[in-house]
Amino acid sequence: MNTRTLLIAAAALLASQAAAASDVTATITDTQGKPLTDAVVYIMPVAPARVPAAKPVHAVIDQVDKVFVPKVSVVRTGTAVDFPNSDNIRHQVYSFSSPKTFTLKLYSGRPSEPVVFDKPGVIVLGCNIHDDMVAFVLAVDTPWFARSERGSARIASVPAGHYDVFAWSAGTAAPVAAGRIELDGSAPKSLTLKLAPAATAALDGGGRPPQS
Amino acid sequence: MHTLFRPFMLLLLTAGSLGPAAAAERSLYDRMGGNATVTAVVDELIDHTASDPRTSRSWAKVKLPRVKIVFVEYLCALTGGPCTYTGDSIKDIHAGMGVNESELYAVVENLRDILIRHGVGLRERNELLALLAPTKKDVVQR
Repeated sequence: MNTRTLLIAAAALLASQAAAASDVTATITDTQGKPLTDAVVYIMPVAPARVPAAKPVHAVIDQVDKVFVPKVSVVRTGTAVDFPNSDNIRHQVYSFSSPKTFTLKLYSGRPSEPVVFDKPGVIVLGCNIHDDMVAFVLAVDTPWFARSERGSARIASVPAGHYDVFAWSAGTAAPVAAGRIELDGSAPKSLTLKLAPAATAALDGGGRPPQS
Repeated sequence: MHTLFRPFMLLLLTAGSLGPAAAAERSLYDRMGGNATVTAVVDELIDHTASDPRTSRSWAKVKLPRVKIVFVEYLCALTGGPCTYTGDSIKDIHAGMGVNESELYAVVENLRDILIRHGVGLRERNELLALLAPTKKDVVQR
């Protein structure tokens, strides 16, 4: 790293401190209180104009030993997802889900075109060749999202404002609204989300139901 | 009288066109018994190959119903039947599986037994195996 890069990094750090931001941490469990892995929390600004313009982003869903890795992805709409194939055999990834339908033939050692997930929603992936291969992509219209690891998820550096909270896991058909929060741009916010299969998520700890 | 004979003349002509020369032109697909035989043979062959301990290794997690549909298309098209094959190349299908010769021969042995059980004659069996033989290099990849 040269001096110039250091200066840019320092400037960026100062800028990020200047633009007030809060971290949102969520504890996501099922209704029995069991911590969930691969559950998703995301927040949408109540004033949509506050969402920053999307930069081109790439995500990756690999094929390893006839399993999708990762099994659950959350991406901002417009994200291009690469489907490499770490297996030495072929796969045929498909989706029949309305936000993005496609079929993608994957052969060992032959790169494929990325798939752009341009509409929000839950996309279920399968493989035409192999049973039991299943993965989920949740595309969201916001840059503020996180996936849980043993019940814990963290959305970093969110600007001050009002946000609607949504939660989802592969057990729930669609994301569920889990209340509205206010961030002051400095204090971190903790959420506790209980996610029931195909039911509504309850929000404890400072949220109100979104007004619609 | 004349008009009464006409249908018989037509019948005779039709029968004439089904002489030995014409029979030899029937496709292998038809001579094997067409869709009924090919579908039944493929169904048994795939089930057997996927469960035979000599060959099951390559079939873990594989969706057998789809393989059967595509393999019926393949054999149908290969033997002159009215089908279009929509699957991948034999080479792409077997890439990375590391199928060896003894595994291939086990499948051929199963195929031969199943063809016999379904009444496919020696000549047709040999023709089919001759059509399949060139794919060996794409199945057994070194």
